[in-house]
Amino acid sequence: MKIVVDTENGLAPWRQVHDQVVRAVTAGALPEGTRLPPIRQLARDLGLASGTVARAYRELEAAGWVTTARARGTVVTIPPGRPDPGALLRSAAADFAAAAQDLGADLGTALDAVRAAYRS
Amino acid sequence: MPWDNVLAVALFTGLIGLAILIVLWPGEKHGKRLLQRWGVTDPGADEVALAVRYLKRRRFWYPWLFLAIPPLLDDSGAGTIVVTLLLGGLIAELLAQRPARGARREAVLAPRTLLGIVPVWVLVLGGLAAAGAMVHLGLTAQWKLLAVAAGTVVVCAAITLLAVRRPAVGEPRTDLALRSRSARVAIGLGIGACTAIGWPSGDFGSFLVVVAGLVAFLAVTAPAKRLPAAA
Repeated sequence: MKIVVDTENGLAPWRQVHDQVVRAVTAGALPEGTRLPPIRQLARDLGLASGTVARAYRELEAAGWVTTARARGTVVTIPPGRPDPGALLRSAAADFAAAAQDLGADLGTALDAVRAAYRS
Repeated sequence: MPWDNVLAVALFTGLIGLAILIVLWPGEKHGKRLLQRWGVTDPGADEVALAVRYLKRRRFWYPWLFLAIPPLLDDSGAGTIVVTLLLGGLIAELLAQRPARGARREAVLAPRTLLGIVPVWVLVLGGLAAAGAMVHLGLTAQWKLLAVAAGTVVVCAAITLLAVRRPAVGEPRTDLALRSRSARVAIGLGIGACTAIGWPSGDFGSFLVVVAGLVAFLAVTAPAKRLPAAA
């Protein structure tokens, strides 16, 4: 399971890490009990500061997506009442629509951007 | 030594180093062969480029180390070759620790462990060779050789741990194969070097130990037919 961070896409790197882990857990790519890499390993691999990855892990833990134990490290958990993939998609779409409106894009332009992103 | 002689020696050495470098310089063919030998079937162009860069990082240092070590260590035999390979590997792994620079960065969401890239039996053999050589040298009070063996163990352990630690690059299977190769070659060289340093007396018992070390070296550095299970 790969994670990709783009430092020039405008979204904070910790948020990108956080969102991709949530998506992977929701989609079943990271089953419950899966160990995540240690903060320092992930930070080194992504060329980020340890604090950036630590913040992503902290937010994930606060929302119940992972638990951190000394012996086992950071492990994926399924939070109670987690949103289903459809709800997550609608939420992401709402965020995107709001950002597109802020940029003054009409629906056609926004959909073109989504199609282009899908192709890439 | 007069300055004109020093310059002549430096120039001559540099030319020899350059000639060795040209012979050793890896191309796509070498990169592809390396990956296939270490279990990466049908590597893509990006994977081959990664393997070529991996080889270049090592081989660039070999000629200069090979030429510089004999006068420093007063040795021009197999010891020079082993030290060249170990120091070349150490420099390459240190250079590979540099973090990713581009805007788009990738990582695998799985912990990376030493046992994920090196089988237990390889570590056990390495530990036995290191401990055996140092205990034997300590019991026979060969302190200078004991220091050399300890230094060799430290360099091999450093290469192995740096191979686990360095940031991931490229396809996970290629990354894993190259890490595995770095660690296993370092441990294999360490086993061979420790048994040779630890039993220098030249009697039949020492001969048997050195042969066993050579066999272990060949087994440990033999390319893995399959990649270790991805961590």
